[in-house]
Amino acid sequence: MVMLSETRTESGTMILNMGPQHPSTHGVLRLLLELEGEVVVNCVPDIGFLHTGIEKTMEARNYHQAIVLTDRTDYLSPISNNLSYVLACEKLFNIEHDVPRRAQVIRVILCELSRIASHLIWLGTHALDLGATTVFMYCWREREQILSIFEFISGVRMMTSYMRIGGLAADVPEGFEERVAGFVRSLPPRINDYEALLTRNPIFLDRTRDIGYLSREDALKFGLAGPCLRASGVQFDVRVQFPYCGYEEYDFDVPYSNEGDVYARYMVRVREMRESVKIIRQGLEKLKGLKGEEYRIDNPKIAFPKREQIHRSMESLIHHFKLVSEGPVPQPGEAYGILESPRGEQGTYVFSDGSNKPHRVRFRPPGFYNLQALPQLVIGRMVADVVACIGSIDIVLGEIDR
Amino acid sequence: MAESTPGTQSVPGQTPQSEPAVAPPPEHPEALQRLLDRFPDCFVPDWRFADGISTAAVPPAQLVDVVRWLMETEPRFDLLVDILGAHWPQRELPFEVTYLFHSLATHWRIRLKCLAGGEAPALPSLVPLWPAANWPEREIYDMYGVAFDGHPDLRRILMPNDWEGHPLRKDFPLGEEPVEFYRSPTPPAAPFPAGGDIEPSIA
Repeated sequence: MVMLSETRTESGTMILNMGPQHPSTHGVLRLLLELEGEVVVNCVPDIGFLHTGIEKTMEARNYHQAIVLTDRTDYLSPISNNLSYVLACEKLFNIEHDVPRRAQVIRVILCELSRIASHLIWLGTHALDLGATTVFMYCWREREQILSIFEFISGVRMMTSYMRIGGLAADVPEGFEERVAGFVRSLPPRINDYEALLTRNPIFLDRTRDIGYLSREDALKFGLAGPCLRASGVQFDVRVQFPYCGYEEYDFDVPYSNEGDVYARYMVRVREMRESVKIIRQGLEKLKGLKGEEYRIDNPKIAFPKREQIHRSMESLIHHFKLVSEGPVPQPGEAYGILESPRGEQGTYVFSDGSNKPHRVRFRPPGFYNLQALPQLVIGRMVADVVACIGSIDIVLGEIDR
Repeated sequence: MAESTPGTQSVPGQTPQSEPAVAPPPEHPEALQRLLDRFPDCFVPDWRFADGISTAAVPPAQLVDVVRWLMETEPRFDLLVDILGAHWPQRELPFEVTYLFHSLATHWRIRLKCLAGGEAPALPSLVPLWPAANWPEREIYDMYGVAFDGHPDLRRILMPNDWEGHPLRKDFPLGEEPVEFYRSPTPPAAPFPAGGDIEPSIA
């Protein structure tokens, strides 16, 4: 079906362009809405405005150089993207089980911090779309603290590129544990504040209850992922079913709901933030026993040698030179690395042809599949509900368009 | 490698590797074995699957039947995880489309591979069985030019509608393209020469 402009059709319905510059389309999503009065009779999402050819570019970079490109896909939780690519590469290089424990624990802590940061943005903008401006400011305040932790460890607020094949780019600096501990101490009361503003707010309830309903069957049919899938009653979380980085050692619940509406997705994400706080606390506890341990594997063919080693040993210098000029070379093969990003199953599929550059890298963007279900959510609803529905599926166009 | 599996055939056009590569044994081989018993034309590709997901190569003519069988037979593979394409220009059938399925009852995964080639590469569409296949199939069509027979709405998804070529094909140059605006009144500048693949200067 082709609908191109804001015109009146023969059947008397009106075609309305929503986006790509509409503030509540969260980036550059364009929706073509066919309206009868104020009721949506058809909805066609149009994506691709943010397509930057990241997958193509990665084919011309070696395995280490490609890491920096992964940040640019899902720009609200870059750490998850880094990690899913790195996990796939570790399978490809067959060093999956050799990654040091300290690196694993730090990876888990950072992933959960970025989950909180991403959920905070989602909560703030979702509430803003529905008219609650205060929550927006509060969420930004807390997210800023997380970003300054990222800046503290990597020097960059958003595009951290902190993961490396076989571990981390560098060890966390002195004082990291205290800063994270301080943050997770302050967060739960703040989440209570957000909930006080929204959870029983009659206006928020009116805008979210029984809106954008998606049944369990439909959620499976459209291949949904993450909180959207769990809000429709499917208990599937990659952290539990396919644990990575030692998630099996952490004790946490996976929130889910059978309601399947916008409100259910809100509740699932808010409860996920509280679970993330639990995981970070356990991670900090584990980190105490791992002081001074390795943060990267000691495999000079794959991981960069440390700075001190380069200064002292000729072999390290040669390895460093080879890794920078040529990069690590895996055996031919393919591997799919997955993790639970804030938006769902974030997968990276890497094909190797035995050269120093990936033959093909594919991101499995959870938002791509979640957005596919949008027409199902909004058809038959009012235009104002479209805004609530877009907010509730938490899209990031950077990863959808890549 | 999967060469220990009886009945293994190699993917056409694929060169055997001199060094034995390390790959974990496939997970949940029983699901794969049942599939291979039921559909004798499917086989395990001779290729390293470093993530351990059980994999079967499926003749395109049987794809829809195999997927329907996977959906309906225990353990039911009820979640379509992803569909992705790859281009191997040196192979006889250069386009490889990979399907990943997940079973929520057992949390098993299975991967199917389909090959396409020729002048107008095409594969059967899974959209009638699985609405989730809609956008990923459009993306493969957009990026590789593999058509999906039976797709209700096969058009470009990420690239502009008037774009020429399929960007993720290996013969599509990776270079600085002149910026073209949709329906731009000025004629586009001369295209970047084909094969002008920028190599990193440090290679």
